[in-house]
Amino acid sequence: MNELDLRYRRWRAADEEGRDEEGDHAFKAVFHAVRSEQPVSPTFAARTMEAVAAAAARDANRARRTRAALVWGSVFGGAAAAYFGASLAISALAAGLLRLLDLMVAVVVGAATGFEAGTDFWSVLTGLGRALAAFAADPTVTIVVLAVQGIAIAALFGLQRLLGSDGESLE
Amino acid sequence: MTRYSSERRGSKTIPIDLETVTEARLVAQALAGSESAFEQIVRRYQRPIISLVARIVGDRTLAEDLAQETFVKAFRSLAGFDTTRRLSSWLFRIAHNTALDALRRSRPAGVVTSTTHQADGLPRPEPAVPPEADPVERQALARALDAAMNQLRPEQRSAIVLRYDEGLSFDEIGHVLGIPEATARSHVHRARKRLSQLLTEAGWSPER
Repeated sequence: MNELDLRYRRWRAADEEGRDEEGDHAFKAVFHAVRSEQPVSPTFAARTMEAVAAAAARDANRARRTRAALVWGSVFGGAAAAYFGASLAISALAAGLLRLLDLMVAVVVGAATGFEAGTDFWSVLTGLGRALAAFAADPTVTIVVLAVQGIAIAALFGLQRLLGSDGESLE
Repeated sequence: MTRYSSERRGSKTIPIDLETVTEARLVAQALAGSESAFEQIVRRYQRPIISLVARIVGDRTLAEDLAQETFVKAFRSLAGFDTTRRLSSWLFRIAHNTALDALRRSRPAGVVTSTTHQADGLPRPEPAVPPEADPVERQALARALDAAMNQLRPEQRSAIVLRYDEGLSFDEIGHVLGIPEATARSHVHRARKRLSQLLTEAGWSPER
């Protein structure tokens, strides 16, 4: 009986009898005895590196195109938004400013009247809080605040995308 | 392998050996733009990657193409590589998924690794064998084993190659195949059982 036969029988016996660990070792011995090491094509690494370089160049091109599209999109989008939304934005901002002035006047007048009439401090503070709440609940103010927040978020997102694209192309 | 440090992540201790550190350095150099570092990675893992893919898809030439695709994918997602893991496990995982995708795209039949000639027409080299083994009998068993391997499911085939060709632990096999360690152990166990059964059917009885 040769060595291969012995290894084969050991593996089969171990697995038949449920000796898992021994079967694992014995099968490894059989597998190693019969496996063949096939040589890798000598040009494989060079071909792979060419493919990697081509892929890297494609990725860099794509990143450049994305960044350019984003920049031009932002420029045209911004211009269009400014052209079509300028009057709306100015009137909304003006309305918001008016409401703010109203609030400031109400605060000053309310505080002065309250203290003059001898009202206690907490009642004056409650009156001021009411004025502030009325200001915040005003639909015009809400719209202006939301619009300003939206513009800020869009600007931050655009900036982050631009910086991200730069990072990717550098990589 | 020289183990000189370890790191605790969550409840699990991940051993860091010299190999892992060398790999991490190669990855860092490749990320910094060193082509030669990535080429070293390719040269280091080309044989096991091609071998695994060839076992899954059954075509040595296609396996080289898919191995190339594997390395390109690895290059693209190198920044996401977890350096506390073995680079080989990560590459095997990409290779395994790439091979399965290729199988899904076009379902080829069987494996050609059992043929006596390679794709380039050169005769296959002789296997590493014990000196006492009869070459004819050894080749016959190699062919029978190859034929039996071809009848396994792709995950089982991968599990067998990763376990017995590449010497991976069950935990690493689980990581490569994207399954828990216990399932990897079960894949290997069932694959061995199935191989026994198929070899018996092919005339290779347990008491030969």
